[in-house]
Amino acid sequence: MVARDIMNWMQKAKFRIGMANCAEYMEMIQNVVDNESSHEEEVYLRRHLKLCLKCLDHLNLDVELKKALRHKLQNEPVPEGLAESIRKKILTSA
Amino acid sequence: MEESSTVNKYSELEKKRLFNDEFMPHLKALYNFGYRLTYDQDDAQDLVQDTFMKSFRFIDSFQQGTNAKAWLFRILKNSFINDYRKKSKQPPKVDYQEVEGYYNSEGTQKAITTDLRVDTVKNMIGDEITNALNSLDVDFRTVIILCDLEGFTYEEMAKILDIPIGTVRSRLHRARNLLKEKLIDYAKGMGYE
Repeated sequence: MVARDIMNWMQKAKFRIGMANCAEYMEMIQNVVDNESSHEEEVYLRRHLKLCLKCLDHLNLDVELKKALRHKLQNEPVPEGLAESIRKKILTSA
Repeated sequence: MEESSTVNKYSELEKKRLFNDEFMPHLKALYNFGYRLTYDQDDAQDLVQDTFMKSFRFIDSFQQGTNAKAWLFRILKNSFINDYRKKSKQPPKVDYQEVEGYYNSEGTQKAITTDLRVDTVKNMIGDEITNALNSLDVDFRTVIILCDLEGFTYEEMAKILDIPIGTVRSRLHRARNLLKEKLIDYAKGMGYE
């Protein structure tokens, strides 16, 4: 546990002084895309993205992919009568 | 998740209210989840009916004020694994230890992202995205559906899927990389690139 704390502290220090490499920002990018990031992570990532076009591209692509999935995927229409048949089954089982 | 030790004793009236107001509004999302897991309208219907029957039978273990949608998705996912998958007797196709160990290796992350462009994704139509998603193994497809389509948080996904949050994160990462690979293939086939 202590060793892990030290590792975490060192990792954070790397981000704080901007010494982390691109692979280490991957998780932050994912967190930002999925709205799971902390304020601290956003600050570190924003600073890195000013300097790194590759990671910026990566972030933009993932954001666009998420948007495309949400808006372009076809929905399968719910079969007519399914809601009714479920309600009937519930009533007879109760 | 909401299967905490406290079991409620809802009145018949309350059960019906919960069922109609909290559960039934998720019919469309559940049906689509079932359909995307099975690609079959009848199987999706069976899964959804089964999910609602179970939700009513075990309604006392649902805590009011918690996320009914996540609770229902978990029931459907379990029905899918326990009933449907057993029926079709499909062997698991993915060795997760092998796949998820790749998460932090730099090599696997770089090759993919450079190839697919934002504009390419923007120009893609629903068919291409749908086909690419459908071609993924069901466990990878599932995390993308839960996260990107249904907007569940990592914590909710961990509870729906009964896996640690770290596994949710790495599986999602891997799923997106696989999806990008498929989309690159489509893009090449369509002459986008």
